[in-house]
Amino acid sequence: MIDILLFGIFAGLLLHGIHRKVIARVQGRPGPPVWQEILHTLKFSFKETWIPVTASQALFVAVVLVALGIWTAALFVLLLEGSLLLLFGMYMLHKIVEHGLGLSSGSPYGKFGAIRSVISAASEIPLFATIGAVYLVTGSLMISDILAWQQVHGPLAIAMPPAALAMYLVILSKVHYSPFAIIEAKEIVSGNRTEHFGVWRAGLDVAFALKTFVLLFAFVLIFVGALPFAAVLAVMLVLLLSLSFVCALCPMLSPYDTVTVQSLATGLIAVYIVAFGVIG
Amino acid sequence: MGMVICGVICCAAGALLWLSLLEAWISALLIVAAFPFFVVFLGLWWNASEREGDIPFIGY
Amino acid sequence: MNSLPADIGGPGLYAVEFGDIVNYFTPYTAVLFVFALVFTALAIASRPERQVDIIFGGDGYYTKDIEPAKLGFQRFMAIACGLATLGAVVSGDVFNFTLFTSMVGITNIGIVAAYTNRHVLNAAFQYGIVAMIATVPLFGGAAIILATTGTLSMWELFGPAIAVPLIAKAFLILGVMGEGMAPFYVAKAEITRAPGAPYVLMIHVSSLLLFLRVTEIVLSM
Repeated sequence: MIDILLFGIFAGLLLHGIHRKVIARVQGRPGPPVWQEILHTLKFSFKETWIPVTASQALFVAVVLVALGIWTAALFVLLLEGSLLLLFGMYMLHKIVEHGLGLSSGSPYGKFGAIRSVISAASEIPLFATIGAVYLVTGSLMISDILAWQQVHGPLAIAMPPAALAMYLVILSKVHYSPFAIIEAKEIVSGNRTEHFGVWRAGLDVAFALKTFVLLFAFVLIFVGALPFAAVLAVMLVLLLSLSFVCALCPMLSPYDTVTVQSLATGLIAVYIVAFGVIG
Repeated sequence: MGMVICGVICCAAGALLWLSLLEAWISALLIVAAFPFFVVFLGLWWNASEREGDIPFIGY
Repeated sequence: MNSLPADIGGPGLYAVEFGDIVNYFTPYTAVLFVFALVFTALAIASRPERQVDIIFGGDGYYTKDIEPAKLGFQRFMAIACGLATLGAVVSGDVFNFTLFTSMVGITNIGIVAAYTNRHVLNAAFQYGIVAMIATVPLFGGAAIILATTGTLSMWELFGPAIAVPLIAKAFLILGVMGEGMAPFYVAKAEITRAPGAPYVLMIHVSSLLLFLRVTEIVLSM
C-alpha cells in the first residue's frame, strides 16, 4: 500500500507537470519540462524554513499535516474500495485545509484566499449531486459495489452522463490554473498558499499531487469501471489533458461568477436527478 | 528521530500488510497517521539551516 | 438491534445506548469525529495569529492583537462549537442531531461576537437571521419524521420497514444548509474575516461536517 502511495505522489506531481506543459503549448509558449513539479517540490523541501512570527503557530503547521493525512486516507479509501461518501467527505475536508492555510498566517493575501475558499464552497455541491445520482442508479455507495454494478451494466458515465459531468466540474474546480481557482489567483499573490514556504510548501505540494491523483483515479473507478492499472493511468492522462485544454482556454472567472456557474450546473443536475428518480 | 520513527511505522505497516500479518484497515490507519509527519520531518531534516552561510560575492 | 445500512457509511463499529437514544460510530462518522476532534484540540491548544493589515497608500503595515478577555470568549465559543459538532456527528437520534445543529449556529455567531468590527458584526447578524430561519425547516423536518414514523431513532429509521417522507428529508437538508452551506453562506464568508484563525476555522469545520453528516442521514433513511 505504501508503494502505491509513493507512486501516487510522484505520478501526481508528474501530472501537474504535464498539465503545465499542455497549458503552455496550447497558449503557444514552450513551457517547463514535465518533471518540473517534482524538482519544485524537492527544491522547496531543501529551503530554509521557519514559522512566520504573525502566524498561529500550531495551526500553521497542523494544516499541512492534515492536508497530507486526508489525501493519504482518500487514496486508501479508493484502494480498499470503501465508501464513496467517505472519499467525498475527505474532499470536503480539503476545503477546511484551504481555509485554514489562508487564515493561519495572518497575511492579508492568505486571508483573502481563505475567504474566497468559503465563497467557492459552491464547488462542493455538484459532488453531492454526483453521490445522489450514483446511489440512485447503483443502490450502494461502496466503491466495490459500484465496480460490480459496472461489470454488469457497463460504465456509469454512459448510464448517467450528467453525474459524470458534475464530477468533472468538481475536478476542474480543484486543478491549478482552473477558471474556478479563485483562491490562488495571482491578484492575491498565491492566495491561501502565499505564506507557506520551504518545507511547508513542499508538504502541500505532495498533498496536492496526491489530491490530483486521487480525484482522477476516483473518476475512472466510479464512471469508467475496473480496468487494468495501466489502462487506468492512460484514462487519467486523457482526462487531465482535457482539463488542461479547458484551463488553457478559459480565463479565470471572478469569484461570484464561479459561484453562479457552479450553482447553475448543480441546479441543472439536481433537476435531472429528480426527473430521473421520478421517471425511473 | 521523529522522521525515523514515522518512516519505520509506515514501512512496517506496508510490509506487515504485504505479509498479511495485519488487517488492511489497521495498516491504512497507521500509514495515514505516520506518513504526514514523515514527509514534514524529512523536509525539516534535510533543509538548509537557518544560520548565516558564506558571505555572498557582492562585487569588486 | 441496529439496522445501519452497511452500503453507505460502512458497518456499525461501536454504539453507546441511552435507552432509545443511541450514539454510534460507523467508519464514516468515526472519520468525521476524529476530524472534529483534531480541530477542537487545535482551538484549545493554539494561539491566534496576528492579522497583518497594510496601511493604504504606503509601505506601512500593522498587526492586530486580540485582547485576552476577547480571546478567552472566542476560544470558549470555538470549543463549544467543536463539542456541538462532535455531538451532531455521533448522534443516532434525529432530534439530538437537529439540536446540536442549531447549537452550532449559535456558537458560530458567538465566535465572532466579541470582535468589535462593524462589518464583521453586521455579517454575523445576517448570518444569525439566516441560521434562525433555517431552524424552522430543521426542527420541522424532525417533527414530520416523528409524526409520520413514530420514532426519531436512526437505527429504526434506517431500516427498510420505515419510509420517511421526502419532504422531511428535504427539510432536514435545507435546515443544515442554512447553517452555512452553499446558497445561504454569503454572510458566513464575511464573518470569517474576524481575527483568531483557530477559532474562526471552527465556523467552517462545523458547517461542513454537519453537511457531511446530514447527507449520510438522508441517504440512509
